[in-house]
Formats: sequence, structure tokens, C-alpha cells
Amino acid sequence: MTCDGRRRHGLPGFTNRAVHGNAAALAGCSPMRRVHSIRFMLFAKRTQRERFEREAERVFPSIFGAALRLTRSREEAEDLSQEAIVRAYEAFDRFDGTNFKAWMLRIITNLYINRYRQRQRGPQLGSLDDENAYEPVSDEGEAPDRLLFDGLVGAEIEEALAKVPDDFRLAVILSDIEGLSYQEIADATEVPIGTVRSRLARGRAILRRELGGFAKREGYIGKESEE
Amino acid sequence: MIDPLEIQALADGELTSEQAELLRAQIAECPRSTATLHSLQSLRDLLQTRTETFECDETWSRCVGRLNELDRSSRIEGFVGRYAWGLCGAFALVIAVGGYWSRMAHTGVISSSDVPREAASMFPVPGVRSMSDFKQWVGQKLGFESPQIQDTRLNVACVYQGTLDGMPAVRLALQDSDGNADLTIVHGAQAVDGVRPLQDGQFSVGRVNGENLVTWTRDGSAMLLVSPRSMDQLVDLASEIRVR
Repeated sequence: MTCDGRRRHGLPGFTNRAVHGNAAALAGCSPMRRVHSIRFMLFAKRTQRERFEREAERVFPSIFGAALRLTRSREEAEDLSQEAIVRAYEAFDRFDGTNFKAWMLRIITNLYINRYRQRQRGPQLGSLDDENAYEPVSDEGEAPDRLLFDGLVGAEIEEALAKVPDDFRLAVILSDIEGLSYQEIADATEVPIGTVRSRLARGRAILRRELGGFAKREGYIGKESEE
Repeated sequence: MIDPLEIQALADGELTSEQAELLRAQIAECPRSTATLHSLQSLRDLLQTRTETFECDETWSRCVGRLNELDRSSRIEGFVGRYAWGLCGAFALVIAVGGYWSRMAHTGVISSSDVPREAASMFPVPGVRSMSDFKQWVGQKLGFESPQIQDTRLNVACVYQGTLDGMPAVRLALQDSDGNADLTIVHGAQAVDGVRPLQDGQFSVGRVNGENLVTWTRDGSAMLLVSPRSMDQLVDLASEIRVR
């Protein structure tokens, strides 16, 4: 079939490539068939848009939250998340259909790395990506984390998270808040899995220290824990 | 001491069930590793359940707006790309039809601003020194009857021949006591553009190359009299030529 896109490509799940391929196949068709095919292409395009919008709307809070936690500026987060949506829509035909959220987070991470981190000056964190650059998360002598974290509220956690250096914060956000696997984080940040593991360990250690310090300053740790 | 990164992998669910089971057994025997695992789990729980949720409806609306813009421009680009040849053809057709219409609508109308340029490209005709020579020459060479120009007061200094807008034309360099004047006769021209009619309705006047111009039509020809003299003098001269 050259003119009947429905039979050629099937419904649903057609892609932009299918639509463009169909356009090329229109040459040589009768006018009536061309009209039908153009109508079909418009329908396919509209359906694809609806499908993208449905998926994107579902994961947008995560995308926006990640952008906000990465940039630490609402204005920049809005700009970044809008750009990510536009990029994703343009590349939607290349989405493999497995994990839309991970794919979107990968796009926004790449955008963030390209757009914002290039502005940064001074020494990079590469030296800390060493597999051995690990700090213990908890110490036997310290109060249990359950006690440390019990009194904390969302804003305090976000504040502590914002103090974690960029590379580590990115790994912690993608893993602990967005629930990506090591492999998905490695793909998104374009670093080896070993680096992801060490960044996560380091980021969590720093975050825990910040949270602990915050809990102590605010008096969230009870007397029994100090004893 | 168990590798803390292994404990972290266990907390993150990155191990196979066999690896996880084995590691759990080892961790159970080590209080420090157990504390590390609990600490990691607490932190993960904290981040998954207690982080803030951000209001983003407005941002999403803006995203939808940008997607609409993208679709709109994509539709336009697609249309232009698909029908580029058709659009070019239609545009060329409009130009051709417009040109043809313009030509047909202005048949027999000459533009006064074209006269100096066209007159300059005319070539001189030797041996024509008087009005009677001129009348004879026009009849013989150009195949139409000369307009009635019988002024013996005017000397014909030179005669030039050529075309104006595809119509046969002659130019007479005239001299009288007030100076020089150029009379261009365009055979077949019905009207002259770029001039305004005088109240008497016989003549139209205008300016060409900084000189005054008087035009009129007679015997199927348009006459254009150009001279640096004043408009009144030029109209008088035109009246003399026309009447006589």
C-alpha cells in the first residue's frame, strides 16, 4: 500500500516518521486518495500530539520539580521545563515507548548540564567522582536517622538538598526523589554507573549531614537521643 | 566490613534477589552495616515522602501554548513545503496575468516620463528641413498621414525617427524667435500619462526633465511639445501649431 496509511502503519502507535513517509508516498495517487491520506496524516499528527500531551502532563510535576531542585530558581525552572517539553515533543518519534518519565528526566538533565552548568566557573567536581570518594552515611555513635528526620518538614529538606553540590544533588534527585535506576541515571548524566554510585553515596552523606545539622539547630532531636 | 556501596546498592534495589539475600545475611551480623542500611533507607523514605510538591499548572499551560505554536508553524511549513511548486506557479501566473492586463489596459497610452529616454534613442533623418519636407517624408517612409503642422514661422532644425512604446514616432527639433522646442509625434497613441488637462480641454500639461510639456492628440497621433520656455508661451506655441 502506498496511499492508505492506516493499513500501512497501523493504528495507534504511528510516528512522525510514518506521517512523513506517508507524505512521500502520496505522489502518484489519485486526488481522492490524496485527500484521504492528507486527512489521515492530520489525524495521525493530532493523535500523536494528544498522546504526547497526555504522557507529558502526567510526568510534568516530576519534570518541573527536578528542574526547580536543579536550578534553585523558579524562573529558570519554568524556562528549563518548557524547553524540555518542546525538545521532547520534537523528538517524540524517537521515544522507545518504555519509560517516558526517565526519558523526560534524561532530556531535562541534558538541558540543565548544557545550559546552566556551563556558566559555572572554578574547579569542577570530577575529582570527587572517584569510586573511593565515599563518606559513611551513618555512624554507630550518632542518633538514629529516624530521630534526626522525624521533625523535618518539606521546606527544610529542600533547603538541605539545595546545599548539596550540583553533581551529587542531581544523582540524589534522580534516584531518591524520581526513582530512576543507576543505569537510567548513568544514561541521563552520561557518566559510568560507578560514578553514579559514588555520587549518590557522596550526595546522601552530605545531605544527611545537612539534615542532621538542621535538626540539631532547630532542636528536633529529643533529650533521650542525646543521652 | 561490608563495602558501603554494596549496602547502598541493596537499599536502592540494584541487586538481584540472590545477591540481596546473601548481603542481608552478612549485614545482619554487622551492627555498623545494619546502621548504615537503616540510615540509607530512612533517607530514601524521607526524600520520597516528605519532599515538597510544587505548583506547576501555570507552567504546564504555557508548555501547551508553546506546543500549539510549534504545531501551527509546523503546519505552515508543511503546507509551504508540500505545495512550494504550486505556490510558485500561482505567483508566476499572477505576475503574468497582471502584466498582460496592465499592457492591455494601457494600450495606446504613453508615459510622458518615457519620452526623453525614448527620444534620445531616435536617429536623425537627413534632408528634412521644412514642414513640407517633413509631411512628404512622413507619408512616404512611415506610412501614415502627417498631422496638420503648417507653421512657416517655425524652422525645422532636425528630424529624428524611432519608436515609443512600440509605436512609430518622430521628433522635430524646432526653432523660433523664442528659442528651441521639441515636438514628438507618436502615431497610434491615444493618450499621455503623467499630465494634467487644462481647463480648455484641448491641451494637457506637465513637466519632463525640468522642462515644460504640453500634449494633445490629433489625427490618431499624440503630440508632445517640450521646451524650457514658460508654460504660457508653450501653450501659445502649441495653440499656433494646432490651429494652423
